[in-house]
Amino acid sequence: MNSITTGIPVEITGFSKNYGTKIAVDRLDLKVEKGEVFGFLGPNGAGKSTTIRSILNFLTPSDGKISIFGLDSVKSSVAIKNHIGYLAGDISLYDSMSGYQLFKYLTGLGKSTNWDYVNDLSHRLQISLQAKIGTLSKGNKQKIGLIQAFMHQPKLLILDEPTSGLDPLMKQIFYEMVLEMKHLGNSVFVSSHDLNEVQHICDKAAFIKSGRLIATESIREDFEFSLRRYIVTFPTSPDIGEFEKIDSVSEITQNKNKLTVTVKGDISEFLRKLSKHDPIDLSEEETSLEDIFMKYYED
Amino acid sequence: MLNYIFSIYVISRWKNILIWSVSMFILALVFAGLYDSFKGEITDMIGNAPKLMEAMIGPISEDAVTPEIWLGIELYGLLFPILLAVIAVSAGASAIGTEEESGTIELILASPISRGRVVLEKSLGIMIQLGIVSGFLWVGIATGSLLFPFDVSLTNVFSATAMGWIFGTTVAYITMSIQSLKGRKGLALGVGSGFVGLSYVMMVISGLLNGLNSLKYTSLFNYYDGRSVLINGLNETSFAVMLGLSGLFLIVSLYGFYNRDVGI
Repeated sequence: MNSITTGIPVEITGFSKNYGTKIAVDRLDLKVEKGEVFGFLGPNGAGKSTTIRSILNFLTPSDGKISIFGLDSVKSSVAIKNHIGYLAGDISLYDSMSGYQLFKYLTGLGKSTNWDYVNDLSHRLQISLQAKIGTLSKGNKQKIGLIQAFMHQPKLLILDEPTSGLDPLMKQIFYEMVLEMKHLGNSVFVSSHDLNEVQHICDKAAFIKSGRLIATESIREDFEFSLRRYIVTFPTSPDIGEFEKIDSVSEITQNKNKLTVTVKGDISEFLRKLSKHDPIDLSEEETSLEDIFMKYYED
Repeated sequence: MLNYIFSIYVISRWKNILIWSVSMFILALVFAGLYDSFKGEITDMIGNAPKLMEAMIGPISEDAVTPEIWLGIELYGLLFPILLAVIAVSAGASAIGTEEESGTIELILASPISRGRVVLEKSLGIMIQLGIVSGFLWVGIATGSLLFPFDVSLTNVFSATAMGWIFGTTVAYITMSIQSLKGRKGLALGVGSGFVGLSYVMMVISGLLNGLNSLKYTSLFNYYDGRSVLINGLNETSFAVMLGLSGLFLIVSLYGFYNRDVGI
């Protein structure tokens, strides 16, 4: 019990998962802190679901270690799951049950359901718990899936594409639910394709590509990232070759005497080069998570 | 009680269980009702039975045809174990397999329960399912003995039904062990059906060829032998062999499901 309150919610060290000769995830390291909303991004087949399923011990790591609240995800799987809420990306529910029957069943399997909270969530998400799940639309099934993940107010929520099928109003309610969890000091690990959503709710985002972690970015309130885009105006048309040689410069476009330059990380070398050309104007354009995503996955 | 894995399993199959149970009940009533009309013909048939028929349904006594012999030839010899085997193979392959195919297994495994409990509760669900279906056959015969001139030993019928139940359980657990090891429902269905077919062929061959008589020990039908149980009462050794096999394959299922990836 002590470990649950003090341990790091998710700590993945050197985790690899192979399917035969195919490497699905390759030496992944990441950490989700207490009270953090952590986004997990990547294209289809990048290894997101494999990582999530390994955290939940559906899959056994080929190498490395996954710790949940300081406990080994394989050896202490049952103890850990008392404190995890999980929503699968392509969630399957029992069509013959009602939402209420499903929650009763899952409570019977050991979840410490807060029924007042279940009723509150069903009211906010505007979903009947009495209707058979098989009769519900995709969006309403997703709401049932969300409630079963949240219903015991777990210390760690693992959500795979949580807003799939939800309308904008319901998405907003979901964001509120996530923030409530965060304010309770609970952690949320969310995989999503919706970059606006990640930008909206996450404190940090990790980018995975072909099974490898390629970056972890903090998402601050002002949406500043280590990726910056500058628009520079020169008195005359500049030689862009000089800027292309800078390691931190990843993208340059020229329009007459105006350059748009994307810089990743340290900007000092870029500024030194820039000062030699006496620019007449310099402005920084806001970068979005989508810019970062496109930069990482453009090739 | 209604929120355990085994009870949800049984409830989810209620239509299937109901149809099979009613079918067994009607089948039992029909055979109980037909006995008085056909006992003469069955005596003639026994006198002229070819060796292949004996090999297929077991040794046939030339004594006067009693309700027990009648049931042994017509119902418990082949029809009952084959019907149970069909139910058992389907149950063994789908108990966990269907949840894996649909993805609902993730809801269960994301809960704070061990994989071992999942296997044990599913196994219990299968035993209950087969018990209900088998039980209705006995109830049908008991009802038939009240309605028709069919003076049968209900104790021996119960014993033969119990042998069928443990036979079905063994077949189901063998099938489930394949699904648990490989995670493939189709493969489990194939292996389970193949096992039943091969087991039956072994019994027939061992009855046809004297030199291959010992082959019968490789056949699950040899241990089931409902026809003899109807006449002589429960064969504890054969029951224990099938119980042991059930336990063995349950352990294989536990090992298989515990040690493999789920939800790839």
